[in-house]
Amino acid sequence: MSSNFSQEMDKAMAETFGEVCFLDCIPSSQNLQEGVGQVLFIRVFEPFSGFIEMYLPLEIKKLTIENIHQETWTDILPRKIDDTLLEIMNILAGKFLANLTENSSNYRIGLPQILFEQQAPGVDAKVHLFHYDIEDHLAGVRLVIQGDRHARTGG
Amino acid sequence: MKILIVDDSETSRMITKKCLSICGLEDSEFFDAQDGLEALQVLSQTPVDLLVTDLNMPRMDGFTLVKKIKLSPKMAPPHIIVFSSLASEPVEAELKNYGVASVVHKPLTPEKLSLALEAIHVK
Repeated sequence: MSSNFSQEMDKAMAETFGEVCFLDCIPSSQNLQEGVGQVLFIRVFEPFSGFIEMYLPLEIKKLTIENIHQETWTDILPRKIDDTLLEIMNILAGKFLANLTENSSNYRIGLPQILFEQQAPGVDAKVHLFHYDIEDHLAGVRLVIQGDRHARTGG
Repeated sequence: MKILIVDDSETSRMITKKCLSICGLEDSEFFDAQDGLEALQVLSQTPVDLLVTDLNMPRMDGFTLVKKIKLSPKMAPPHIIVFSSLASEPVEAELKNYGVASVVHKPLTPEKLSLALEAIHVK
């Protein structure tokens, strides 16, 4: 299994936003400000225990949703917007874990959720923060690896 | 042709239908289900020619769905394609034992789907 979380997340983000929403997503040296608002969350059960959170500003959400649905933001039902964002989170997590495991071993995730605050990492958790530039807007991803299993992942 | 699309995401079902249409199946009759349980209900009433299902779903996931279909040959569609963000090589091998013809990684694109359809001679 790859231990390069940053490289695999960069690749997963670029592929997810490129293939699903036709948006360019590249790593950014800028840091997302605190107070991220809505959080896209998914739990990871295998190959490690933990979770992934994604923070998208409104501008990126609009671009994403409008590109996928080919409609203007205001014409799209909030239920559809949430559903689309959750599906993007699901695809990102799948791509990241497939990259990490080189697609050769099982990985297992929960169902994606929308939360309104970041989750506490827990004791002994390893936290990785990644920042991205998506069409000149800043987005963030937080990878949290919990418990003693992160030692085995090289993280 | 009757096609059942199974995914808890409405967006994903919409994208799948668009991809199938781009692949030349626009005249098909499309059915959809939000999870494996709903899919079994549809299949018990309507035989379909092609089942396209996700794996990671609430209530009944895609794995359980294809296992249940394997146990009930009467409702088994001739072709099953799985598209998922959880499609590792071991998962793919296991799914093929349950009669899945092709496993496609999300996000689904017309190109990926076209290859899967060509492999089962549905185009």
